[in-house]
Amino acid sequence: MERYDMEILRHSSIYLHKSPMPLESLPTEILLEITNHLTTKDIAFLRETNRHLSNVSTNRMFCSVIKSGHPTSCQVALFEAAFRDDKELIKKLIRRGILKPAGRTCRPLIEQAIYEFHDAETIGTLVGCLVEEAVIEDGAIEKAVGLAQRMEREGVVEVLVRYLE
Amino acid sequence: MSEIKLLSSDQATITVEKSVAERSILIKNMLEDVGEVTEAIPIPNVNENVLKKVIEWCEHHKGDPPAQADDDSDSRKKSSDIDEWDQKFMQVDQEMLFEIILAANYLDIKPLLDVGCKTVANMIKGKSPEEIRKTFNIQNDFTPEEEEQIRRENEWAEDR
Repeated sequence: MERYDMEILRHSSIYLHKSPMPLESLPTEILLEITNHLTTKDIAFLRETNRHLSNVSTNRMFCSVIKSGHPTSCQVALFEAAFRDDKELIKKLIRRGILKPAGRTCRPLIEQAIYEFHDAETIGTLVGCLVEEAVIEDGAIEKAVGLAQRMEREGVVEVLVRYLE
Repeated sequence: MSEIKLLSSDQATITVEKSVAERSILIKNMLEDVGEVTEAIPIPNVNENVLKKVIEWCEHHKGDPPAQADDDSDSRKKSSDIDEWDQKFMQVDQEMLFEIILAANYLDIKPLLDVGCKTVANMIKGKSPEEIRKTFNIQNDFTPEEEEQIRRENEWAEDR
């Protein structure tokens, strides 16, 4: 009798028409593979769907802007990463060549960061990564210190001086 | 022409040409390790329906040149470039599509995994977040505050 019940269950419409397997149940490595085929905008929309998909695709979104080559987007991506204090992501972005579209040289980038961020530590995070990745050109930090002094941003000066060696 | 047997998770035995089965790197390596096998090779993660579908793909693609190693270049980026036969092959319900992707991943059949991922990517492309949720039956588990936050972060990306 039990077996008979199982058969009914197996052939019942509930069994046959169960809801599709949700996208988020796919392993992370496969979800990342899927985002490889999406544009920045598509990944951005995927991020808005739910928590798990957002966690998986956030880094991808930042990385995919490099491909777009759009200077403003690239700069914003770097600044967002700095704002989140995500040093790993900043370095990854640098290694993947974000500086090329973002500003070519570091000087205008750091100056823009000084204008944009009130928090000196965020600027420090960005400059620290630029230094560690050895992409910063000679004199760029000195000039940034000069700008910060003229703007009377003592906290920023203090942070930048750390990287002067 | 030598043949081997595969045993699906639901205990079905499927006979398949060795060269076809070897599209799966997992099976290929296994055969290299153990040499001749007469009994069926268990594929515990894949059921009969899915395994048959995967074999159908392998049969169609058995003459393909081996994939170039390390082709993570831009060539893979374009998701529209799925060949016609593969597009038809992937016209299955969503559950089957995901099962094929998982099986391709488990069996290590990179080109099939690629086609599967591209197919899903094409289903995401050009859709709004709400449309993506509907398509894939995704639960929105954000608080209104989190949703607002992400939308703000996304602003710069959305008009690209």
